[in-house]
Amino acid sequence: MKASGFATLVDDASIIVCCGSGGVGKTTTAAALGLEAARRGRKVVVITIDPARRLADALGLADGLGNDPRRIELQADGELWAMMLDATQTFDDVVREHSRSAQQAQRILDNPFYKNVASRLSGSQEYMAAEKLYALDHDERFDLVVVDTPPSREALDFLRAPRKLSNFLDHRVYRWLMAPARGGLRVLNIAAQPILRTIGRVIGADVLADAIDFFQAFEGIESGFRDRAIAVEGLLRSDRTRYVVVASPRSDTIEEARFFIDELRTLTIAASGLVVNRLQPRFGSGTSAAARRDSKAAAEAGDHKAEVLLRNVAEIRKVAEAEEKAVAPLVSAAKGAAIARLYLRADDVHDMEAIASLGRDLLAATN
Amino acid sequence: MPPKSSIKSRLFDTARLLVVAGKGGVGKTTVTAALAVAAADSGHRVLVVTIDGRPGLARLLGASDGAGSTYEGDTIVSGRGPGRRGSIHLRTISAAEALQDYLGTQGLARLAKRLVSTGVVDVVASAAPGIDDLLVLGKIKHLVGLAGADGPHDLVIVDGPAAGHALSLLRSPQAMAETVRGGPLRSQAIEIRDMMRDSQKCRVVLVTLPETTPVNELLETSAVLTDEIGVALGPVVVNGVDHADEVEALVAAGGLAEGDLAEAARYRASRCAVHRREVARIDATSDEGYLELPYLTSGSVDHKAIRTLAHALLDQIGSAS
Repeated sequence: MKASGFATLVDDASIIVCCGSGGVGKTTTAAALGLEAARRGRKVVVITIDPARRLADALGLADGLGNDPRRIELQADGELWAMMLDATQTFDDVVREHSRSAQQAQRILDNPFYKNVASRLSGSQEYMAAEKLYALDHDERFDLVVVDTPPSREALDFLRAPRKLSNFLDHRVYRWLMAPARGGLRVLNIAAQPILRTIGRVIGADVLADAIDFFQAFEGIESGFRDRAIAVEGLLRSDRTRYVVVASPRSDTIEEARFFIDELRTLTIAASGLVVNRLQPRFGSGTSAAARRDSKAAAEAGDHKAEVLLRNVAEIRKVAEAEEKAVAPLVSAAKGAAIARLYLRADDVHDMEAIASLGRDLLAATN
Repeated sequence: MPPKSSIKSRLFDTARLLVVAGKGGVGKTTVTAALAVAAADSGHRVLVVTIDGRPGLARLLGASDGAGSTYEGDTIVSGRGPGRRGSIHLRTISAAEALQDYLGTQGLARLAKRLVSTGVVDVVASAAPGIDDLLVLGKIKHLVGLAGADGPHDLVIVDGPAAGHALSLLRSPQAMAETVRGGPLRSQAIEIRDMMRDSQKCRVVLVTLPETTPVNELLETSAVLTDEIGVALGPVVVNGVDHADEVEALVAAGGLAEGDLAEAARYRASRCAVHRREVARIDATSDEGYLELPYLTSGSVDHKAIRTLAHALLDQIGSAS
């Protein structure tokens, strides 16, 4: 039998990025791939970006996950570690790493504008995820990093965040703001720049002052950030990094998955795997129409029990048929990728045993 | 049946803004469409606002793709409900357009153009992505202010962004108010926050599936929304609840001959049992009650299915009064 594409994937990749909309089973797919890789002897760390406790609960970590990897008890040749991204903590660490002095780091960390950007708001999280990925890739404890991304539109930000940051640092507005500091003048005169004066009128002068203070404190370390951003982007685009797109048969998640595959293609990256999760299970091989016909015949024959059982199969198959039709274009869009179809269970995957069984199904899938 | 709840029976009159939120894949857009149709069918003039411009929403509301995809939007349903007063207007709001709009009202239209064309807006948005959220919420607040008998609409329904982002969206006014010490941005942030915290004006309708993990997350999200962000909730909408009573009865009676039919019946019955258990868990914890939408065995969600779901909602809203 041909080896599963997913077996090759977990054996060869240095980084696996799982993407797709929320609720399609991205986190559990990441955990299942990580678990299988560990069974096959790799030293794996799984990072979840989703702040929910799901992964921690499923892996049996009662204290939850933190920004540092924790090892999961496992009977395996390899190792499985897991962590949850803390974007604020990671951002603080990066600032400390790149700063020339403790004072400079502190001036940035205390700035209200920095606190806002680093801890509260959405975009910085994607960059920090990429940054953490880079750090773990260089961590000798691990030879495979598996990450789940935020829901897919933002997952693209995750890929583009390094570029966005380096573009920002090169932008002429940023250079304007920085110019006086470069000249040795520590206070930028907002009033001297008409456009800054107008922006100040709209957003408030103190916001602008905080922002300018932040950028000035940032001076000299931005090149470290820029270099790192370029390295992170290179890593995300190299063939050591593989992308697995996860979808469920709902039309919105299929649209998101196709969108993601197309966007990856525009970045000249091919998806290595497609997981279609939560499909209606198959019972027997006939069509829903056949089962419905048999159900009607049973009703006419007065066999109520057979009528109900056959109608049930007809209803399940009807949904399965609609799903198969909806999924078909996605499957052809993912040509060349390993493809796994996973079927719905009575309840969702929320413990280690279910993750293990999911992993076995994934590795057994042969398109 | 769901318990009686006054919030539920007055769902479309209790607040002027309903924000529909839930993690991806739970059917948030389906529920937004069903709520809008149900509100229009009961005679309300509904404004549906989408933020990330999901292409499917117009189709679910019975219009063609692309309808309502602009900032001004389109009226796509009219003449519904009592007095043929009910209607649905759909519009798509982006942060860049909201900024130009806002600056225009401040007499700064030329500056707006310049900010956009020089790329300053992009820079500000990459440096402080929360500003995007605040601009969008600012526009929504403006639209909510127009709601009422004399205004262009009675009710605003927002198809919110997916889970994690929905929380950061709703958190952004408070975050901005804490960061910014003065100026128009701060007062705007505070006004938006206060509007969102006023239960007469705004309620968040959470959507979930009747399964363990989505319900766990629903409970966590409800706690964050009420305790930390301070917004009021509406009834929870539980999407895709399967009831197959006859199948369950056969399985419970036992003695099914082994084979595909028996396996299919056991699978269906065990799933119905999970759904019942999870709905009970929501019922036990939600002060505002819940509305359930049936599992669709048609296999696909189209406008016809949305009408079925809207009727299911109206039946329950009616039965709650």
